[in-house]
Amino acid sequence: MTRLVRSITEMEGRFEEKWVLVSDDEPEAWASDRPLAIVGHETPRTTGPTRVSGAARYTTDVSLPGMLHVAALRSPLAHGRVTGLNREAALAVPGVRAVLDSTDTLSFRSRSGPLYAEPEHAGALLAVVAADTLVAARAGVKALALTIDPLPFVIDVDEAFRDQRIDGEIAEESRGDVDAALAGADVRVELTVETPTQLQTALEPHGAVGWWTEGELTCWVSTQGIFDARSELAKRFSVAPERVRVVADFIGGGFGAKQGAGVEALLAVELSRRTGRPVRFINDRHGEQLDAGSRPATRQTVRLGATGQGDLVAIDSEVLTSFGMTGWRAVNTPAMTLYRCANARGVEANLKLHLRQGNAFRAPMVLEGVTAVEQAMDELAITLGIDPLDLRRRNFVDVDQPSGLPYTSNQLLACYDRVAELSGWVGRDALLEPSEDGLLRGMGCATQIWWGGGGPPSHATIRIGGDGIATVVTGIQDIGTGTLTAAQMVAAEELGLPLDRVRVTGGDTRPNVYGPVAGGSQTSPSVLPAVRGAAAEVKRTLLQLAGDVFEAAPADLDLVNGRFRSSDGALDEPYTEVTGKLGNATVDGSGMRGANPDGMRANTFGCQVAQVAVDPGTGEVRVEHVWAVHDIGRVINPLGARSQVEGGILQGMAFALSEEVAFDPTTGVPTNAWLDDYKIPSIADVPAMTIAFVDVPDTALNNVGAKGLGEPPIIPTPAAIANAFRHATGRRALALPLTRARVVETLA
Amino acid sequence: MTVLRPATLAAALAARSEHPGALLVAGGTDAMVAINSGRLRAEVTVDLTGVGELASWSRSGSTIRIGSGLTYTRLIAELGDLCPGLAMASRTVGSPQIRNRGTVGGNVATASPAGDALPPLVAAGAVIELASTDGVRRVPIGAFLVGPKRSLLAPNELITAIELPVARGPQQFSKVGPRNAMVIAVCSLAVDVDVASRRVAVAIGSAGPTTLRALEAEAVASAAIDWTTGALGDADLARFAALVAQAARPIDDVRGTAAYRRHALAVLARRSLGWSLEALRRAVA
Amino acid sequence: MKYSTTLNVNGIDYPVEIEAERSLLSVVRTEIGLTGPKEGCDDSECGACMMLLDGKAVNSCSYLALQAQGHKITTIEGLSEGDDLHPLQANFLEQGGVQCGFCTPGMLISASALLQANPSPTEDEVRIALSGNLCRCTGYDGIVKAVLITAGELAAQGA
Repeated sequence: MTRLVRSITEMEGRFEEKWVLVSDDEPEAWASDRPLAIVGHETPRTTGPTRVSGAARYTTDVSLPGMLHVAALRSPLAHGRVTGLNREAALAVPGVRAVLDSTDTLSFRSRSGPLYAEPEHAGALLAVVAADTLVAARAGVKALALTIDPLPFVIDVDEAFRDQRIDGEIAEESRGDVDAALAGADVRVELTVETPTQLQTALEPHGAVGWWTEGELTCWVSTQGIFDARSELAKRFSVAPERVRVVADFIGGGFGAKQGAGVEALLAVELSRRTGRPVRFINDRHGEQLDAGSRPATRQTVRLGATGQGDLVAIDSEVLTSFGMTGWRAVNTPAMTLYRCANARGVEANLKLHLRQGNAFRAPMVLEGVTAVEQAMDELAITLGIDPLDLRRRNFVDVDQPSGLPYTSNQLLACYDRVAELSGWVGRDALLEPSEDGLLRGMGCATQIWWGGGGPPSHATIRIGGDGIATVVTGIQDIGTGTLTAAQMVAAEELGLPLDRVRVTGGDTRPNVYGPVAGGSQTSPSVLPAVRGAAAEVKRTLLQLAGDVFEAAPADLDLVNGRFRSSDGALDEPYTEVTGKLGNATVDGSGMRGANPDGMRANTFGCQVAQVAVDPGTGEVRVEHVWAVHDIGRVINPLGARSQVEGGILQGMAFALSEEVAFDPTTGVPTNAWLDDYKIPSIADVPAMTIAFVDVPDTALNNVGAKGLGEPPIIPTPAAIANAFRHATGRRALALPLTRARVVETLA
Repeated sequence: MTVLRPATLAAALAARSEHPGALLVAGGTDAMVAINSGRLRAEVTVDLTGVGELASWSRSGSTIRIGSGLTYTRLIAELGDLCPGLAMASRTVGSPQIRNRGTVGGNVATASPAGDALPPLVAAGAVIELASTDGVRRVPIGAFLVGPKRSLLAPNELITAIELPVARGPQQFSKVGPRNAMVIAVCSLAVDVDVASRRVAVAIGSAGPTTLRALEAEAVASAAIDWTTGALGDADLARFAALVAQAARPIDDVRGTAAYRRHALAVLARRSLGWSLEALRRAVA
Repeated sequence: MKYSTTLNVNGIDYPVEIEAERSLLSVVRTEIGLTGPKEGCDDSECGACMMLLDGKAVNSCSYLALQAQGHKITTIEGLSEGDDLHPLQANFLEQGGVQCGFCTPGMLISASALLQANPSPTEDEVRIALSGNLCRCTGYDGIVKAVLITAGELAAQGA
């Protein structure tokens, strides 16, 4: 039986009530102590051979007969007015088929842009040229011979704040009486920290191939959300969603930046509609680093008040964001939720600068907030003379304080204990002894909080036929996280089939099996329960059929590792004895994610410890070791989970040490929007990493007991590194990243 | 664009003479990036990879003659003992794949203030051999490099070789970058200790319009070192480091501030000379 | 002006007509249709475009296609023979050295060039050899392990 119910859904901390379809037949959660044959065991990724052989087709690899290539003209100024574009000259370039700029009336609706006459950030799109070849398209862009007048610009936070260039409302939330509590506190610390603008830098840039035909609009998009992309294209071009097909077989990373269809898809489709040819629009690296997304810089002031014993009595946080996402402020989430505190206040203002508006980047806003709050906690521990981990344990809280609701699970205290044990935390002061190499060493810790419970809607179907292969159809897309492999594992586990008898598909909207966007650490906890539901239905039917074939009572039978077995052990037959009789018939099952439990909040938790070595001469900071312990409920695939954590740590380390968009203050133009001066970590920069999970299933949350893991590992790394730097040097750098120059200044 | 692929030096010189200002490509590691990005458009490109004469090195007495087309990979493998400073610098160039193709001649021709091979060449007093259909001339590298990406290379000339002495004592190269691999120098420094003539030479990279010598620092160190033992007092070492920093003419740019560059150069100078003298003391003992 | 030339890729001669300024990467991807090598930066920084040229790894984005004439070019598609994975490919999967996979073709090419030149590299040598290949998803750990394990396996086979 399926029913429609009202349910609360969550995405990156935004809660919404909506109607969702749920099934009465959803399996019970696997008991925590139930041994599982496949889930929980290291499993190489299902699409691996395709990926390592070069056969995997990413959006950038799509090539269609007659396909046109797009080159973009971008604003060379932070703010300007286009005064001249020679369209005729561009159209006269051999091979050029179409030119679009801000004077064209596009067939899709857009609030602003996507082609600007008065660009408000460097890299904003001014025009696009479609041509038979990329060489011709680029020649067309050159022939446009842009002339543009500069207009005044503001990229400086202080200047913007002085002028009150605030975008939208200032967000404020509070509980208790913060001012009184601060005034009455035994101990107070105040810390102002800055965090840098960081670029997602997925190795595959944003891009799309759009093909507008009479019957159907087909669009290959490098996107984290094929269904969101489908909705967007359907709405913008006023066609029925069923007539739009979005394909993303392989996606070369996203890290939050690839939401929906994206401007590349919109323009590719527009150009296809005008020219009648498929159109490919892939960002080049410079365009990608200028205009495809960023984690906006922040300046945050955190004030903490505590009793002499270390009980927090007040948390006060003020945040300025350098043109972050509008309509959603979450930098203060850690201040409001991370520790038990009756009096807490968060104020958050978004400054409107001549920069590209920020978008999602792995743990958007929360990473920034944790980076500030956790440094302030470190200062408080130092002021109180309390072990920083003990201070955190002391202020542990097991309810979500803004809502007053309990968590579905919370193993944070176990994370603290385990990470302390692994890192040798209690002996960390031994690192302060002078070393032969002249480097200053220290260790710091930081806590992680994030949502990651997932929720409905999310669907899956499974079909098994005469060949005995079970095909799982999902509507998710694997941006590199390994979710499809996890889906294969869950299906095989539930079906009782070996892994290689289960195939899993995703990345295509055509089957119309809905899956959520790969974001917010919600894919696994959303889709895996649906997959398990579908598998349970198929298995029920297979047991029925086995009863028919073997003349046994289905309730007496089980399907284990590809064999039907009776409870008394008398029957033990390969499952193909049943599926082999299906001929061209198939057995189908469908499953859907059930509603989240009422009156609870689902969050992930964790703690990381970092050890750094600082060269006081050159200012080089080397992260020597990171120990990470996270609570993500049940770990489905330890191999994939470990890799996710390692990647998160490395991105967090880079946020703390090297990644930062630099601007020319005289022009407002980024000066390192390439990979040579915008440094993402190389294989030679990797610290030793020790990774563990508190592998306790969240049986209250969903039927597989899993929470998400995309965001959590990046969140505590920068603060842990900053705190380790403080431990090593006795100084705190008030801005990240800890570049050589900043370290030398801080130590001076 | 037309590509000429001469197989001999004579053919290369003829091509250069016929198409003055043509783009010269050896490893192509700098040039191709500029072509891809549209920053560089050339009517004629001369591909020098077919000219075998350029891709070798030889020794004559105490002088090493490095063909301009010698790759960093070969230089590291074959000249590590004879020109240790240059080999150390070569190891920090790009990635192994870049070093497989990138050439010392290309680094000299590009004349970037951040060119990794330049400080050791400048410190060693290298001489650049330039050839054209009109003949051959030799120019000291200090004179050859005139400014950021500017040199005395004439439109009809090729760099055919770089001559430098076999190391006459310990050499060091150090470089500060924003991460551990594949970095353009924030600043770099080469120290060349000539035990025979009792002279220290220092050259600074990425901290001025071109690679710079720190002559005053050199004089102070050369005079203060006890050449029989390799000893140098801490105060003299500190003075040397401060003078190196003073000799720099850095600017603020995307890779670092001028103040940081001066600071780091002093640190690199102190360490590099310290390590060199340690090696000297070991050799003496 | 276009040049007629022949490129030998994965053992097959492909006649192509190309402009002189075209990079090897763009010709192999567009004219020849082998899309395993990827364009991540077009700037010699990311290494996703690595190909073997006579057994040595090169950033094909910064190599003129015309310069590759007369050389043996190997792309990721030519790394394994038939349907069997090259041991490096298998170990990249086993060790979790692959996430989104976009950097993987270039990583594998650099790793195979390393093992051809140095069959028993140290961990440091692996890191140096792969320092021109950027990965944004993994922490590189699985990649390093995969190369070291493959070296061990190949040595054991040879022994």
